[in-house]
Amino acid sequence: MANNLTVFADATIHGGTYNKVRVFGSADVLGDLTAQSMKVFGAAEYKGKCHIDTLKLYGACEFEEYVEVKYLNIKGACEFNDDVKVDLLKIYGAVEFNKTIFRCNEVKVYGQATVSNLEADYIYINGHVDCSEQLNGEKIEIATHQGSKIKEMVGTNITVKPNRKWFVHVKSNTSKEVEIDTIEGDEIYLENVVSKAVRGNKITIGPNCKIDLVEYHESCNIKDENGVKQVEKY
Amino acid sequence: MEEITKKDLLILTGISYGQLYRWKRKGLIPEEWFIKRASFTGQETYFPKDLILDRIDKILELKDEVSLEELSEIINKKQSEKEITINDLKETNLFFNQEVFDLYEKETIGFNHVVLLKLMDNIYHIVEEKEELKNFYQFISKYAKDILNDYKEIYFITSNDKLTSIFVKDSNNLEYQVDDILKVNLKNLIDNIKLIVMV
Repeated sequence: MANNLTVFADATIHGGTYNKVRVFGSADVLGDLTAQSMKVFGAAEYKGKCHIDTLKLYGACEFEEYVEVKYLNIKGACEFNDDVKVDLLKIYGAVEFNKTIFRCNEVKVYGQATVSNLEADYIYINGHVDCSEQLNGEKIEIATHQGSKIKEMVGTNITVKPNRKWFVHVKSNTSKEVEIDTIEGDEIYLENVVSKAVRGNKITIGPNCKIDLVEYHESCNIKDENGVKQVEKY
Repeated sequence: MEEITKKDLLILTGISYGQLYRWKRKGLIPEEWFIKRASFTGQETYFPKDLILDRIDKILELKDEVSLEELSEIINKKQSEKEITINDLKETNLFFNQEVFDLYEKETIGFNHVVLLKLMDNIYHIVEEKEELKNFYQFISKYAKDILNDYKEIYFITSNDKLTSIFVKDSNNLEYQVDDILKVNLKNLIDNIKLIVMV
């Protein structure tokens, strides 16, 4: 049975295998760390690889190496400088992923996230996302009231529209636009989107869109003609 | 290498954007095959034509028998421990030259050695002295694990009936001025063999 570890003040951990790790103060992890669960309330810096089942980050963390986590919950501010493999990811705070997040089951963003590549079966964004490379998902849903900037969004089922819940509606009347350079998918529904090119099988363009080019295969339904410059069938 | 645009690829193969990106997500189509170039709509993606068509054919062929998750598991697993018999291997039609089986002596064969044999199969036609092939095989089977894990590409040059091989870890800034050169990309080779042998 592996040990538990709790850090209250300032500590340097050389890695190893643990059951539960809790950091209240500040910790530097120098080697590879394996743990059942880990919670960071203070600050932590990881210089080795991490294999953790449940990782909850409430403080400030920085990861230099590859991280593999089953459930990752971020409520603080974090930075990941290498690839991340995670099954379930929830972001309430602010986070920066500088490499790929891959083979993920579910990603939910309520806070702010800067990502480069994100691959997941289900992606739900209700916060702000800055994506410099590609979002790739089986199903992608974006609620537009915080605005986002995405270079490329691809997947099977893509929906971008304002959050219809009434209290959100009252709070922010003006839904912000989401800037997405290219969108490619099978079924696409867009509202409040600024885009250069949208390509797919079945495309529905709702109100408040500014789109340069729509290329569709089966059907295309445009509710506001002014928002689309050019439509082509392939 | 001949290239194909994404739209042409979808029309030619009849698959959809969703399928293409699902396979990419599952690791069945490697990231390096998506070659991005600037165009008037931002950017256009190109693919190496032969490689991608071959891979898509294989996935379409297998997807009725094996689930996508299993395929993904097979192709992304680092090392496979499973051994198969030489006779089973002969039935897969993986090899063009049946003579290469003479190089291997045992009854069952591990995955690494299948890759090495296939490598021998690929260079079989450029080597005239078959004794040389045997020596080369003995050399690489000694370091099989290291070669397959660490190196990305192998270049083969034959001049004056001598076989020269160059093992490359990173081919991005490699320049050469030799015409008679055979390039083998190890990852593509391994992935293709996995899809044939391990399923």
